[in-house]
Amino acid sequence: MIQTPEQIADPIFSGSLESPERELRDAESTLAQIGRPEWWFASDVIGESFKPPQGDETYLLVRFAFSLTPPSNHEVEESRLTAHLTCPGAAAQPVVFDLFPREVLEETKNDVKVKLEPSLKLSEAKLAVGSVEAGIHIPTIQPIVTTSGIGGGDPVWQYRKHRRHPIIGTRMAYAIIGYPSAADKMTIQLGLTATVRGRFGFWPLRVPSTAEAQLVRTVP
Amino acid sequence: MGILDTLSRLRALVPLTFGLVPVPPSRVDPPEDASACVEGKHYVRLWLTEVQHGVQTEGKNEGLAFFARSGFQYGTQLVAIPTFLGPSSFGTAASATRLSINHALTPLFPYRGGGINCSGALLHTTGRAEGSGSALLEQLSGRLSSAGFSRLLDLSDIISDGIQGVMRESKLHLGFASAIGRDAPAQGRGLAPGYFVVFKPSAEAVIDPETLCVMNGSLRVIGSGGFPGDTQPLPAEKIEYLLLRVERLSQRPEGAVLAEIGTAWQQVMDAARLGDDALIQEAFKRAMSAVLLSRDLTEPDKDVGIAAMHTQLSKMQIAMTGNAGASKEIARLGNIERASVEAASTAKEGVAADLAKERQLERAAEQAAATEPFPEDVDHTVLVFECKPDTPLRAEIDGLNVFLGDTLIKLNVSNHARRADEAFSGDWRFKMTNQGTELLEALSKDQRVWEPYTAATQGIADRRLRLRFRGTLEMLRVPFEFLIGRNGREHLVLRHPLGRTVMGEGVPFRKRQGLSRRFFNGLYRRGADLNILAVASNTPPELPRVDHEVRTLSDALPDMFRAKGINVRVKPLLSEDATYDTVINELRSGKYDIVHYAGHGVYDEKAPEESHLPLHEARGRSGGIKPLKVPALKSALEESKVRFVYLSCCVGAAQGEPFKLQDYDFLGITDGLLQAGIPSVLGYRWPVVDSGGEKLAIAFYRYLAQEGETDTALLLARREISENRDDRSWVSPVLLLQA
Repeated sequence: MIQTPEQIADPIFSGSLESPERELRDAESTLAQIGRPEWWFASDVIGESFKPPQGDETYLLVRFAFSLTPPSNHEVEESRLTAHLTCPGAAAQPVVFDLFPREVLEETKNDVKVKLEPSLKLSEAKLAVGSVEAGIHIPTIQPIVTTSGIGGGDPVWQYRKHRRHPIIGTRMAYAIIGYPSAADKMTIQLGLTATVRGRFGFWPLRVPSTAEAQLVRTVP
Repeated sequence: MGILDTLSRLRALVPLTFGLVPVPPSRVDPPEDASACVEGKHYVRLWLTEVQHGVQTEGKNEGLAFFARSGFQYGTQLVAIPTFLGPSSFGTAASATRLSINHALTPLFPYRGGGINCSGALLHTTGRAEGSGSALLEQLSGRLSSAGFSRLLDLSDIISDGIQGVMRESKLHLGFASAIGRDAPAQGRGLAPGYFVVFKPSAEAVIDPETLCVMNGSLRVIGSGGFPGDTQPLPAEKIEYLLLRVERLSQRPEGAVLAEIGTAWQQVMDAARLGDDALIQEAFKRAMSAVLLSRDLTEPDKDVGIAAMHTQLSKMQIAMTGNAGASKEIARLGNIERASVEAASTAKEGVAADLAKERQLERAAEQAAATEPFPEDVDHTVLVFECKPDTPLRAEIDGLNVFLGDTLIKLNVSNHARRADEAFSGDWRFKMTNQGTELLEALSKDQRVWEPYTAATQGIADRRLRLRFRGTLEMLRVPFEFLIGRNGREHLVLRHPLGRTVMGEGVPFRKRQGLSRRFFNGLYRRGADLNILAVASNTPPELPRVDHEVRTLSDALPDMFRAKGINVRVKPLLSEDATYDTVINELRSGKYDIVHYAGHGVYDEKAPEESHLPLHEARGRSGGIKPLKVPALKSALEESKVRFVYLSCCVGAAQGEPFKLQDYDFLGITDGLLQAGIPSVLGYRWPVVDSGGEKLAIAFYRYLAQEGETDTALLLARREISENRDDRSWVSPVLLLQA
């Protein structure tokens, strides 16, 4: 069972998000962290029942994480975590098979157990307490989350403010990704944007352009 | 039936502010037909129109009240003073009868050209139906019409007699009694220019006339300290009053103003000779109080007096310290400074000697002015709009009241402030223009408000028409910088120099002159340095331009002013060295005329006095961040000689809502500086981009060195930055000018 932590242990970015106009002389800034993507071979997670689809591809379960801390009197209205997946030099490119959470609109979900099916789908499982099955444990998932990018190479998790659940603190998400085994490696370029509402209205923020290089990671 | 009974009946009948109320000063301009009135040929007369109201109860006349509208007679034409009491104010109650009688209040006196300032008006009521009020006025006007007077100031005797007659008859009291009448000390006889108060205390109120003073056009009580800052507003329920003001047609010369406060000024000079800074400050404070609280000086006289005190004290100090550069300058100016010092040292010999020296000083100063770097006689006009919520708009041109609206200005300050903040993001130009147009409409309910503007723009370059918006501290939150001109396209802030002046409760007197041509010329004459503290504070998040900004200014400012013959000394504190302790110590040193800060600015919306400028705790940008909060900033600067603070940081001009003063002492950084007595502050309403802040600062100082005035320099810097209209730095700055 993969346990989903509640804090980011190994951030690859930690700092203030930047406005499009850059470098405002305003000390009040929205702090963000982006976690190093963690990954597992799908075959290891699923075990013996794993039957890879046709074709010569490697399948990974990848965990993404970020956190946001807006200044006091500010609220994050919306935030987007993006990942641009590429296999440099390869003819075929990575494909997202599934994302989790895919859509959470109303209620907070606690103590969620997710099963990785042999068909490479991530589905919420109703497992008996104490049962040991191949899967992921997520302590809490707060609304509102929507996603896009299944079947492509650019998955997006979009978070919107819920009336009872501000976007603050850490969010974690999973993806099942297949990439051509011939490529040997896959590159993930992470991105994070947020729209923050404060005294001066809605203000779009992003990871500083100077930090973009450190958001590129290669797996496995 | 007593006066108050009659008043209450009249109030019921006539829906207006009736009773004894402050009378706003007015300006009366000559009629358009110039042939009707020629300077030196025609005469002017002050007249009153008495309007009587009969109050009927059960068909009987029971009361009679009158008030007098004043005006001037130019040649053969009568021009009414635009007061707050228009004809429509009388209502149309069928039970009221009306009778108008014109009284000539003064004999003719020579017309001296231009408009005439008149602040006096009479408003009186009597409870009896016999027309005693009318008789009194008749008596008064009869006396005023007596022959033998040809100059306005000589009318003082009769006016004072008349007023005293009214007082006796109606059992009202006269404040400032010592200034009225033939034994008035200042003039030797007659009614001196200034405010006079007619008041009627309530039964339980004990009012000592000697404790009253007039500030900002309203009556206040002087506290035990005797300083202007100690005054308290008069509880409205305790006293009804009427302000009368008599003004001169021209300002007094400096010498005459200083003579007015002879003893207090002599103490300053004595302290200067002793070279005791603390004593000088104390004496100077008292002398300034004496000027500001003087009952005999008009407001323009007071300005002249304060400026003269600064100039003369500086000269005196230079002479006493034997500064080599100053001595050279003294030699160059011949008798000017010697005359000043001699005048001071011989002050005990009497006012006459002082005045003689003063005249000598003035003559020499005029000669010196010919070579000064900033001509002070540049043709410019200052148009002040006094704008407060739910109050009619007032306008002044060059200190003269030219307009008093009769339509209340409906401004929802909180709403405008919130929208101005939110206009920062997104399509900010659209939002800003929209709000500017709405503000224009709100101010233009009475279309006549634009008449002074139109008049002031005639024959003068846009940059020479200097706009001021004067109002309470709360009004700083209203974005007048967004205002769109009447053609619906141009931004006023790019057309005219635009500044703000804060007035009202809790606003201290400015303690010193702001930056001005006069100030720079003074530096030039004395060979004194312009001292500038420039602080860069690069705290997280990183601001790479702030150190560059301070370095650039440090290098460029001396060159900028060198062309004008003014020596500039800049003390740069770059981020490496700008620790909290260093900055505080420099601010407290009292050495600087200008403080420039480039860095982050934090406005705390919940607790505005927690707003601050973040500084490093230790050198080398190490240690933690220590916020320089508003109270500490105020404390560090209140004893300084700083005349201008430039906040090149985010939200330096942001202000909290006034109710926050219930829990906190300050509403933001600018408010703290205002409370410290800093006469001029430039700060941003919005966050500012690092590079934009730097560009505006450098452009501003370049134009300041050219123009010698902060508002004009800001206008030209705004124009330069606005070549890229998408850069908010041209609209975001707010300039506070406590002049």
